[in-house]
Amino acid sequence: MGFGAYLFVVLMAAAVMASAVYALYWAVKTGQFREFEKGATEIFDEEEPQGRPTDFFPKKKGRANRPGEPRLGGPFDNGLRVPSPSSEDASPYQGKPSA
Amino acid sequence: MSSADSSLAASLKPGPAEATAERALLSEIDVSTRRPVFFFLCAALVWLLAGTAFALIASFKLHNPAFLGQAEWLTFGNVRTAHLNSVVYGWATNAAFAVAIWLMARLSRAQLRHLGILDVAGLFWNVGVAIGVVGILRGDSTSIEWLEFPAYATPVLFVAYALIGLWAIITFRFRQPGHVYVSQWYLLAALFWFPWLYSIAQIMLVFAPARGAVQPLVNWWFAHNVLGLWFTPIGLASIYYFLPKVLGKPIHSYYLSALGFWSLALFYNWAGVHHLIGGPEPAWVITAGIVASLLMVIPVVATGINHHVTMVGSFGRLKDSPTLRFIVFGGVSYTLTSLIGSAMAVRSFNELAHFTHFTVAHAHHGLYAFFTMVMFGAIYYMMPRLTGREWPSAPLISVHFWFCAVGITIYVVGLKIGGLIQGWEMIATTTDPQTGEVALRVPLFLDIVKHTLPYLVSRSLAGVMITIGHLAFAVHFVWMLLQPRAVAGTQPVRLSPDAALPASRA
Repeated sequence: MGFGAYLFVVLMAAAVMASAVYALYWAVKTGQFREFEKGATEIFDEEEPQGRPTDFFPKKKGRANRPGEPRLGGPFDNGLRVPSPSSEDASPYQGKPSA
Repeated sequence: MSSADSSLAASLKPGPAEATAERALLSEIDVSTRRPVFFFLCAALVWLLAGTAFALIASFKLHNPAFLGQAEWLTFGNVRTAHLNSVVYGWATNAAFAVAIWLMARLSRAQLRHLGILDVAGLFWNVGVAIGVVGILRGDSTSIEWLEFPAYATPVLFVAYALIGLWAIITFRFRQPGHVYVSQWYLLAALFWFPWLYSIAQIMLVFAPARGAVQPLVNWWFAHNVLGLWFTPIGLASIYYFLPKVLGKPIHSYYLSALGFWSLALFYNWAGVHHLIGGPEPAWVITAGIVASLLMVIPVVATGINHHVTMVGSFGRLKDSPTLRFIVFGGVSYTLTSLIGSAMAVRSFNELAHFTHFTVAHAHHGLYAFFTMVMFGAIYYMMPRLTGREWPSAPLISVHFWFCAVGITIYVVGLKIGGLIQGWEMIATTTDPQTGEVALRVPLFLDIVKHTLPYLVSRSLAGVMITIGHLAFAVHFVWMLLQPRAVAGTQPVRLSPDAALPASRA
């Protein structure tokens, strides 16, 4: 293995280590380690709010909606409907359980 | 003007991102990711099926060596290698790209930019993998574990990866300001680590090879880090996103998630050397690898507590969420396989398990039971949001899950038992009753092979079950793509619950 290859390997290793140190410094500087509780809820918003489960098995074809079940084809929600305030209290389990 | 339309030159210009994208709706973000994510998912599915076929052939050959014996290109050495490379670089990496693109866009809270980069990258990547797999079947394998693609295939892969890395940097640069969720940390780290691993390994093993004992050190540094610094972060990023999303509640301890990420970054890189315990390597290198492997218990336990405690009180949701089943199965498998991996690094246990089927079972425990199952869960979540349609068939989802889950469990348990039997017989000793001298029994190798045959057959049975699961998934995936769109128009339509349903959905 030639000198050039060794140099590349060493420089890459140094660059990776420097990047890791910089990433940690950047994280501290931009407050990424502050307010952990708030950080955990970053993935929720008004479209997919905290407290509303998502992802259900598809409803069986032809089965009528049960009382309280969302009307758009079944329990599945892919952001195509705007939930009404009352639906946030609805049971997250809307469809027949699958095997 | 949408900031997603800005030129590549403008995106690469150093300095603050003046034209930060407006905070986009999730549905708009999902639509913007459609083309590249579909491409990578379709490619992943093709490689999954090809890799499964190679796997079945290789598995059958181990207890029936004459199977397809007339085909030179399908000898065990070729087909097992083709299986490994097609599932690692074909299925798993394409799936990782698809999930990473979708998650990065969502977590950056901005529509996808410069789709052309991803189109070219996807094409190059899959052409490179195809050249590599064909090259292996032709007999051009480098015979370096996890790096068997012939040298003529790898530059194509590197171009593809460079483009994806470029896209990731641009996407992160134009994200919404504020907190970077833990999943995005894992994704960025994975996208950053992989080109480093791959380029160093290719240079030091293929293009300008190092000599002697350095070769296996680099080989196993690479092979282990592909699992730990490429696939594991993508898998954990997925679990940290999809688990709370499906449940509608945040992760149990965000503090633990930060601890898990940084300790993984610190310790994992050293651990690969545990593949060479007992080999002709400097003792301090081996010991460093063993220590790092045991220190990995810290991030694994931190992550495990986070995932499992988040699920407490919500196990009932496993009945009605396909994504959750796969994600939870993957999460539990991650904890188990990682802790077993740390135990395997202990010298006394390594003496038993090394060079046996136990290691093969462990590799599948990690890459299939953890990573692949998590990817399946991610795909079940993503596809309806990309297509605007539901999955057509709940029974097919159940077939997919149960055949794969039971299949991989039989695979891992059976092969680990077989590996332990192999190991015990290989290191079995006898004691001379007169002199008290202890010596190796040195059984016939063929006798050991015969004793492990039932477990090799159970592996083939498990492989058949997994194949059925994959076929169910493939059929379902294509059915979903081909079924007519339920809602007219290409943009998501916002309806209130009281609005009249479209006629097609009534």
